[in-house]
Amino acid sequence: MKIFGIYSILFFLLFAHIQLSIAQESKLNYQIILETKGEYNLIDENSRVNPDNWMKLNEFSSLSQLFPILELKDTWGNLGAKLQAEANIQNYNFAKDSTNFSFQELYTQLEFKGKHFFVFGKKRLDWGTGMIWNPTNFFIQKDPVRIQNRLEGIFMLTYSYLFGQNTLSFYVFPEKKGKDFKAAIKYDYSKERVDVSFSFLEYGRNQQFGYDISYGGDLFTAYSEGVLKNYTKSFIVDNDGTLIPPQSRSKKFRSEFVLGTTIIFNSNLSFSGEYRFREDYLNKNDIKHYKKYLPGNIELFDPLSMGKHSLFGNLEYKDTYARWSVNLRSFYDISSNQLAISPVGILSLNNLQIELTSMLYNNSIAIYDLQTSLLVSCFF
Amino acid sequence: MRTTILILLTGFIILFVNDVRAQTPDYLFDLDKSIYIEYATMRMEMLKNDRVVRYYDMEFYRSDNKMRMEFTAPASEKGRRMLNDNSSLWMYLPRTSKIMKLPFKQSFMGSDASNADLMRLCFKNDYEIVNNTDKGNAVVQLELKAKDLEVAYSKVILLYDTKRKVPIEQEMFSLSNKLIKTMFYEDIMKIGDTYIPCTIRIKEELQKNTETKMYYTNIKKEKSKPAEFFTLGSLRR
Repeated sequence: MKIFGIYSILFFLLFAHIQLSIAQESKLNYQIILETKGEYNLIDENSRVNPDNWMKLNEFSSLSQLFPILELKDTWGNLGAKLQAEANIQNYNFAKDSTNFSFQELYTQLEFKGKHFFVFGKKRLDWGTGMIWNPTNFFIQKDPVRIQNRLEGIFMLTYSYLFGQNTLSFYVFPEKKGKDFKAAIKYDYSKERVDVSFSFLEYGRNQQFGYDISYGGDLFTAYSEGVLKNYTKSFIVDNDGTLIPPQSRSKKFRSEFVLGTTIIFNSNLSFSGEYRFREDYLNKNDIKHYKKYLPGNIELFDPLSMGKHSLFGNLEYKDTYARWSVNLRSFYDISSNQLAISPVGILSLNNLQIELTSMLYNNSIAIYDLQTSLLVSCFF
Repeated sequence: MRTTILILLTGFIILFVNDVRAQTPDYLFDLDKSIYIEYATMRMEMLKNDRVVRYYDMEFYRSDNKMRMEFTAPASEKGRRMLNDNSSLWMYLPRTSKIMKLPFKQSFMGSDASNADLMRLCFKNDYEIVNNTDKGNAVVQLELKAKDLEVAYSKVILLYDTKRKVPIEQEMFSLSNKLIKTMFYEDIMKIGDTYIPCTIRIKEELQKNTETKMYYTNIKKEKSKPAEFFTLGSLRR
């Protein structure tokens, strides 16, 4: 029945694609993206996290995703309306019973005089200028390995008021239980080459204060983004190796921030780098205890970074017409000594993008020695 | 008597200077006017050995010195937006709903144009005329010098059609006086009371076989968007 439903949607999309190609209606925009990712994993036989592959991980895996995106827009005098829908149909390993359907985004936006914006529905939260890590974005929804990843939205009700170079936004995130109630207020301001924003979040009876600042020069950009919050989403490990879940940790305020830059050397070569500090994560001593009691405390595991200090660097060389690029990305955690080096090759054509990525891990707490993936994206 | 003559003479000189000033055309003002459009649909083609290797279709919006571009094709770039608010340059990536700040001198989407060429066009603000040569047939050659080091090109030599008040050709030089790019303004059309070049060709002088062409259509000179449309807050929506 599910398969029948999905085929019906695919048939409808194909029909709409043909019809819209003929109609070319400017108020209606649509896009279909088909992504297929094949992955080869070389499992680390000496891993302390996954000894003797007790997780039963496969060497080969695949994920196919279809993203139909539809945008309907109209204006009546000073009033504007937009309906945005982005669905996701995904299938793992081409298996019959592993097909899922969800909406990444589904929201309505009303606009008055181009200054007042009301949004209701499921929408991506776009807080933070950090490229890899966004501490201000309290819904952790990012895959740091893929910068271009399509993210899933969250249900929200927002109102934004734009005045001059300022924006004031109010957010409410509906929850079933009253104690999980979340609401936020954010203020953005631009002056000359500097942009700043301040935010306050009420997160289920906890609080978060955030800032975001960026500077854009002729040949470089620099930014910083950070929060002070009295909640955590991280486990910690005590001296006996026992895991302490996030909800049992003390409610004191802790900081998390990111410093980053992008430097353009010439039209082909550029470098991006980020440093992240997380007060609520493990220090060197904690990591020792963590390693001692593996694999029992697997919940804490993060393949890229588990410590307080994380570094990211990316050296990119792209051809003159941005048709292809080669990247050398690396992640390093100073506390846990986790190092992951990732060479990436990207070929971008008008309707096709091919991305070949490898990830090499150096550490005994890694699950894999090497992961290689080929991602083919088709755009219609 | 002597005082009266002196006063009359001074008055005459002031009137004469003002008259001369009034008659001298403000080339930089006219130049900015001729390339100023509020809205257009734009196709950018990047050519190598006269073959199109990449193209972008976009909607182009401008308000004074602020510009915004919204990509409509190719399919892989659809939904991407760029904003120059006259001090910062931003790009919106629809796949992640993410905003990224860009350095001004980065090449524009792999073309021969830099972000500064496309998103920072204001002769009056950035340059002053240091030389003016009459080339005949209502064409003058203007030598422009950058007012400060922040401007992308330190020197510009420009051929200017004084009759239609449009640029014809523009050579851009580096600080070391090396010719970097040449821009050709073509397909001049009269829109309202001004002539506007509808095709701009950019030739990269350091790589002889490459060229970027920009075609403007559906040009409008009337203001259609509020000032807030050209802010970071609006780019996210």
